[in-house]
Amino acid sequence: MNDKNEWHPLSSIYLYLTDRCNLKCRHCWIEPLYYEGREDNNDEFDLKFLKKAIGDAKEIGLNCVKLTGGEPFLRKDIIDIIEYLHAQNIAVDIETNGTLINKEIVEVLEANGVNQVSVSLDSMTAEQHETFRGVKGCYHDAMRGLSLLAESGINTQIIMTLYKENVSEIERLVGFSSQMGVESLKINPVMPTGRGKKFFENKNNVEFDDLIKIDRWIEEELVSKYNVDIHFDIPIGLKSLKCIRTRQLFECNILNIIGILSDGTISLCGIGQTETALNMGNIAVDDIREVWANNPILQKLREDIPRNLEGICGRCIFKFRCRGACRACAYGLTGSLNSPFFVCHEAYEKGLFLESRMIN
Amino acid sequence: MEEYLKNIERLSQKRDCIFREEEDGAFLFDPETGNLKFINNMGVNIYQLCDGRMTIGDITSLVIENYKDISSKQIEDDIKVFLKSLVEMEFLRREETQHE
Repeated sequence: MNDKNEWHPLSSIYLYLTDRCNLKCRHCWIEPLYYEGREDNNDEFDLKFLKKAIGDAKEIGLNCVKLTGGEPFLRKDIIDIIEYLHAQNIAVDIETNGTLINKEIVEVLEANGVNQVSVSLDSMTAEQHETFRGVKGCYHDAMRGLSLLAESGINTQIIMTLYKENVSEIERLVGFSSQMGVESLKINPVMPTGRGKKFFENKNNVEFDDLIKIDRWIEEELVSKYNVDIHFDIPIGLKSLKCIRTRQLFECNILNIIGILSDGTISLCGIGQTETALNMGNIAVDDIREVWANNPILQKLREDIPRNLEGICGRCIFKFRCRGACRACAYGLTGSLNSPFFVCHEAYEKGLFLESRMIN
Repeated sequence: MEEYLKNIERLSQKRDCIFREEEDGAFLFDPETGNLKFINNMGVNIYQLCDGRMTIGDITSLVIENYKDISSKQIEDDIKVFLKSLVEMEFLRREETQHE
């Protein structure tokens, strides 16, 4: 199904607008520099190079750009970037901690038809959210940003990062999301990459069997009880049958995505920030079409995913849909893009992976 | 319009396809193409009757006998739609029809 000669459109770019952040989140896999101000940063790519890359990428299928970071609203020309993308008919998704969003920004996002804004919120308790995010006052700032977004017509998502201590906050956040009228709540378990490694060293991550129990609880109880779309991000192979049949699932389109880091580096999503071996050029000097067509990392990826996935991912009947969940995480942990995703691997080792979903 | 599948046709299961039962049905997975489909319990029964010997008409008659409260026409149409999707996804293949 997938080989290097098959045409893969470059559908999405993950644009890491800045390597700075005004929060110090304990789990962040990007590990950005802490930065309070909203000033020019000469290390960040110039808009003219981005425009060239976007124009070229449109020729090979680009239709969506996700603006992320660092905190994307620290970047001074973010509005220019959003307006440019809108003018190019590119759908724009934004991931933000919400603290810098104000009325003027919301108006710009609305005027430019932004597709979705995702805001991080990990607890309904200010102290817990701020302990996790590392900066005093960020809870109220995020709440203010969220309220402005929810009141507007913008498709808003809350992203909750899940670790052992905030499991009890899940239902409160689901209830809050429903009450606020946001479109969806995405719950991402902490990953053992970047700063998230410490969560696993200190056993602060949610145990694998508990992840599966939480998934079933959400599907059996919360989905029907609250009026909000809940996405619990564990791989398809571990999901309940009901969920697989009826709901949107965790699928990374790794074969149709590329990352552009804040200095213009072209990378496999954001992982190039820490794993420089996965960097493939720079938009200041390289043609993104050329990189997409000929870069050996991408060619190898197309050959290997999903056919040469290893371990339980290679044996999973969902491998053509799931594609091994997060390949960046797999690489970060093992140095191999083919290695099994750690959640499924651990579930398999503990006998929690259903036999019916495995190829013998 | 000519029917895609005829009652006299026989279908057989593609070898190497993986059939995995779960609580309310089963997954069909083809490791060669990557095709994956979930079929409910009724679908499982019909799929398992596709042994290359029974005709689609035979299978339909069996199902009609067991579901007397549903119209025969409805059952026949639903079975054809279902089998067509499995043929298109290459979980089933058509046997050569012997002309008499």
